[in-house]
Amino acid sequence: MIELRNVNKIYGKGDGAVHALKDVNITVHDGKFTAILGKSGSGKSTLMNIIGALDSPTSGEVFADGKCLTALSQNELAAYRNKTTGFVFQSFYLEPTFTVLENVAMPLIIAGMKRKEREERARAVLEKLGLGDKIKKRASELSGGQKQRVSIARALVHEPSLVLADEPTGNLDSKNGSEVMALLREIADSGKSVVLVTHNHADAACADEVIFLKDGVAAMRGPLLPGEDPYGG
Amino acid sequence: MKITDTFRVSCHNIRHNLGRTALTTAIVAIVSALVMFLLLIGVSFRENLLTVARYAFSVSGATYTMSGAQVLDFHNNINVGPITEEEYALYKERAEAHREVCGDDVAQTNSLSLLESLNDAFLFFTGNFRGFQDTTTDDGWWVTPPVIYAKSFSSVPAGITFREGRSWTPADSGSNAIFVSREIQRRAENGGHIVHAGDEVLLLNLGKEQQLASFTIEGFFEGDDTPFYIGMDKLFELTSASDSLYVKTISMHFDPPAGAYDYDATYASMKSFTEEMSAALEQDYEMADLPGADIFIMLFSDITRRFVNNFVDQMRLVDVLSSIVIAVFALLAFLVLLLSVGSVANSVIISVDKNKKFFGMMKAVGLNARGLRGLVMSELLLIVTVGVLIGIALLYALFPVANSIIVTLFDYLWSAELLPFAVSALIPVWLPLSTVAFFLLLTMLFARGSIRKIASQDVMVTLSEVA
Ligand SMILES: Nc1ncnc2c1ncn2[C@@H]1O[C@H](COP(=O)(O)OP(=O)(O)OP(=O)(O)O)[C@@H](O)[C@H]1O
Ligand SMILES: [Mg+2]
Repeated sequence: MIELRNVNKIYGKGDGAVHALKDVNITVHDGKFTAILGKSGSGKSTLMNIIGALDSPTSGEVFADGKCLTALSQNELAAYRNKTTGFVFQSFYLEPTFTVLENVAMPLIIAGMKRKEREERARAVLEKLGLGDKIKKRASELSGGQKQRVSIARALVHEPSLVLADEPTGNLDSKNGSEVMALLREIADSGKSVVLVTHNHADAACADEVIFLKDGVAAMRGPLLPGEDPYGG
Repeated sequence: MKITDTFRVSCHNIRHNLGRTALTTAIVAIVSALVMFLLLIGVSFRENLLTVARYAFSVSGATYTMSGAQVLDFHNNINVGPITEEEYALYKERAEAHREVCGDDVAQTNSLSLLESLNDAFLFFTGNFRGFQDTTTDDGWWVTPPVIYAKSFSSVPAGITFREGRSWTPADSGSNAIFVSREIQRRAENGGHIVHAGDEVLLLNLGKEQQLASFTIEGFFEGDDTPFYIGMDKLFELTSASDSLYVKTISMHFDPPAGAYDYDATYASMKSFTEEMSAALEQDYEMADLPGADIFIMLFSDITRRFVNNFVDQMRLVDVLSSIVIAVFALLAFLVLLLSVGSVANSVIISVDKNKKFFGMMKAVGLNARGLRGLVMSELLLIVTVGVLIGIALLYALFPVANSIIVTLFDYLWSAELLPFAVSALIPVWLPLSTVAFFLLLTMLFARGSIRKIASQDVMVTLSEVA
């Protein structure tokens, strides 16, 4: 369970400062599919990054299973991410010169796992995601949909309890997009917490819980009803 | 992250940034070749200096000396003690332990016979007196005219009266006959020495080489008005002020055995013998420390109670000299390194910057600051190591240049025909290793700011700086 208490995030200083998150109090429940929904610039990515310990709030506290993340050092946070979280980004962040297998195994390399073991695990995840025949290819040789599935494999390979995805369908066509959404739903159903950032109602409709963001102000609610306008008309 | 994986990832990064890394490697190669070249010249200078010194040793051997003089400076009452019997015994005892470089001849020293004769003989000193005109005879004696009359004057000057013995004749020229001032005789009597015509006296020359010879007193003359009187007077003030004006020298010579011998062991043994003996002696008088009159200093310039081995001393000089030379070259090398390290550091900074996306991703999946530094360091280590290896190859290509520098230099100083001067053909292992170490150290020092920045910032800051 991730809990944010009075979280504020301010980018920059003085006149140019942007108040991206304003007194955010939300909870991400274990094993649930949570969507962060909002318009462009509303602070969705910022919120997700703070939930995933990629970024630190300007003020306020973040608790992960009762542990205060905001009190941890950079190195402790790195170890936390390496164990607990997996990320999927809109622009993949794959290393183009590395092979698919190497890219997926990266969290395990950092964790210091033996080569044989980590490659076995990476291969297993890739095969599960239907990429078994691509493991020797360079990441740059893949299509967008394949890249995103590789990055999902990377987010799963170390069996984190929390998977965060920032507009994972943003660079994909609708077919690939719905495949990715189905994958995320599957992950959530397998017992992991999934946090999805999206501005797409349809995608958010897959979620168990929705966090609405408007100009940095967050509100939590249950699943969207089919056809519901989340912004309340 | 495992070290092997760190290097694996770095290798990968280098291979995929060949343009940039090749340039850096080339810079490292050229600079390290230059640095090692300079150090090699310094090291070779020392090696060849040692060759010269060893050659000198093998030709002339080593002389051990220890001298002490019982002297009273009439102005300052400074007493440089003679070598005591205990010191002589010590010398013999220590020499026993170093038989291989001292031989069995310790007791047979010239000076000991001098020591014995000193007990009976009345001693005159001649010396190089300032303000007096000295002449040198054919056989190399320094002559102070009034003492060695027979050797320096072809006729007795006017106004000199003989009180005892006979006067000078042309036959005395070049003989061991001497004619002594009456004043000297009187003062010798005051000192308890009765001298008569016909007595044998020893004359000791304390110039460059101590020389001792026996002379017969043929006559005494009234010499108070001679221009040389003052000098003799001062001498006698010295002698009469103390009963024990004498000099002792223990001296022996070691010839390196013909054919092959263990030079290092020989030298080490000589050195430790010399040092043990010097330490055992009470004091090492540096004449400059003694606030005595000029005469004093000139007379006894060779007399210290230091135990000296000329070869060990020479090697000490070689050490100091070559250390200075090596230091100068090392400084030059360091400067070259310092000037070039900026460009290497820049390449590291650029590499960190170019890899921001990669590092950001790595941080997102859990790479910590240490892991990041490890990646940068290992990449640098690989580049620098390869660069220095190429530098070594370049250095071998520069060998003929280094060689001609060394040969020309030493041929100028000593004859290269006589000795086989050359640049040290073996590059000492520490040379490339320390070059690598210095490169790493300096580069990290220069680039540490940018590495620390990227290592410590939030992941999203790293990632967002890419866009
Ligand atoms: N690194 C940054 N420095 C300064 N301002 C930033 C930074 N990142 C985000 N912001 C600002 O904070 C606000 C929220 O940004 P955020 O990226 O969280 O929005 P978002 O909801 O994810 O938008 P989008 O849907 O376009 O991705 C925006 O006004 C943005 O300009
Ligand atoms: Mg965003």
